[in-house]
Amino acid sequence: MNPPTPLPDPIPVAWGYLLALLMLVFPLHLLFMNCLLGTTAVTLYLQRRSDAVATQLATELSRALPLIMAFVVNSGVASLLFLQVLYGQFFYTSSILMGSY
Amino acid sequence: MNSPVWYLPTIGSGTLIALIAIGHVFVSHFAVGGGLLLALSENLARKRNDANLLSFSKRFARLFVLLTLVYGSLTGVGIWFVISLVQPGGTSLLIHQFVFAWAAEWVFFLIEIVAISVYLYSFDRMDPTIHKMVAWIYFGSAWCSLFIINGIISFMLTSGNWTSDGSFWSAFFNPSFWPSLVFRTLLAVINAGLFALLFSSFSKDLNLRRHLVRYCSRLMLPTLLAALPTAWWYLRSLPLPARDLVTAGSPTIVRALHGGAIGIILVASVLLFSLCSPIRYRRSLAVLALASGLLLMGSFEWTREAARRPFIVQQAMFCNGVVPAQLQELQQQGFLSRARRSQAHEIATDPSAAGRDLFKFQCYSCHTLDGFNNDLRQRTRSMDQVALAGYIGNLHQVRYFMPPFAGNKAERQVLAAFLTDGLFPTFESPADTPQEMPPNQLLFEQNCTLCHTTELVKNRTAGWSKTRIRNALDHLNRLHSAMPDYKGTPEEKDRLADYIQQLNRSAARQPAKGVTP
Repeated sequence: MNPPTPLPDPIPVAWGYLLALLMLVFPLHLLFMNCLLGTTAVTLYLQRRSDAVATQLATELSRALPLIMAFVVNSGVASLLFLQVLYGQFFYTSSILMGSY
Repeated sequence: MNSPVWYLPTIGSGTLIALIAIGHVFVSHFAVGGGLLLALSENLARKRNDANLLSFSKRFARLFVLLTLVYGSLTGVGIWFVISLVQPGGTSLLIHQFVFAWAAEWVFFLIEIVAISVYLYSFDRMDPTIHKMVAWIYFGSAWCSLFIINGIISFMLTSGNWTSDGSFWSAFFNPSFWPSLVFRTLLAVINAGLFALLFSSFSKDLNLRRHLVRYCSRLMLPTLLAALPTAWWYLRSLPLPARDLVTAGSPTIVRALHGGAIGIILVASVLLFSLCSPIRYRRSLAVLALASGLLLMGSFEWTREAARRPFIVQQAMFCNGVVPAQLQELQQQGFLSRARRSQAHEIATDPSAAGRDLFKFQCYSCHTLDGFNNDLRQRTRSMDQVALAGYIGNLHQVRYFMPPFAGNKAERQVLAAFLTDGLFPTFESPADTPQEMPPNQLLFEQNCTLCHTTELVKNRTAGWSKTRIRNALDHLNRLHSAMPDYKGTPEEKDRLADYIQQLNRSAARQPAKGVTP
């Protein structure tokens, strides 16, 4: 069988520009993802404690969760776009492989 | 065609996309129109100093954020993920061609998120003038998102000059860009009104409800009226084969158009009714109106996608991912040897695997096997294998919304064998025509039986003279607008007419059982 080669669709600018954009948005996505996970964990922990300050803090934090979620999705979309432009063939294969797990 | 396929033969990829897409399309248009509605209703509430309307706006904004930011954005990514799996070639083309359009759309999406969050979380804490401005910023960026996505979606239907000049701008501002943009903007306003009507029907404040119903109806009725000429303008912008598909051709589009018409009539009647007697506007009516709106939206999207056939991107790629430029090579030298991820490169070693892979790579994008949508097995099971193999070779002429088969003669035969559950032919000496079938019958099998059963043709032509059948064969399109004209030679038509008349004559000789003279 032939090795997987990229689909021969042209990209409009040099590879480096798109790579730079990917390197800009993907760390942001990681950051927001960590933020979402951490905030959720901290909120859960605080909510189980009995003192008033913790409960208050948990409420305040949970209010921010939908917003963080939106930013996680948003930064993920941008990463997905540049990832697919540059490494579409690998992304496709990995999605197929993910399906069987 | 160079990708492995995520293969779910009973569900079909189209159904999968449709399931996610229909909800997304409905909510994303709501996200645009709802922004306008929020801005307008807050404006009105502040002007009249109406605390009830203002608190309604606030509650509406909360529902709005939940629906659009969470459901809308997640289904949007979901569509993307699914299309990149079931239409990798088409997705790749769009991603690469429009990478900066997508990026710009993403920026507007970011502005949307920030604006709507600021709007919601600072409802009572911000200076009213600035707060209203935030709503307008939200609406502006949401509409710009629509503007960009519209360029990409309408490009798939009408690729315009892009096929010759390859320029981004001809692709983006393609022939159906403007009508589609106006049409979608109008739909967005209608959708938002429908959601607002439903939401207001839960309010206990009768006065507010009456006020809102009247307000929304007054906004939506003219919009609905304006949508009709826009739809006509849209239709005029389509290239000829696509326009023919919509106006006269395909039965599935006719069905979708009927659905759309019912949707429009229902929405309009609910609105008129509620305008005349807002007090009797109930939750059930609001749900009915919303469902009709969904029907209208669904029919529109269905029609647009169906009119694109046989392409996924007009003129650039067929709906099964085959590129027209490769067609000739594939037909002469074979498909399987070139399909990079097919597991059956040699027909002779495993014909049934070859048949299955040909189905997977060339038919599966639209057809299912034993599934509920566009099931191919059901249509072909009773067909004659050789007739089907012949038919596969010219199906794009008989059904012009289908792409031509991209493969050689042996591949046609093995696919026909796979679809008819027939015996797999031996490829050492491929036989063109079977010796046992009379030539007239073969002609009939190859040209008529894929759409009609023999029984139907027989019943329709009962008592017809041969001349009448022969004349009908000259103008099949006049019998039914969806029926393509038969392109055979006069001599073939004579033989076909002979055969069709023969059907009834042989039936007359054998009277039906149980009938006593």
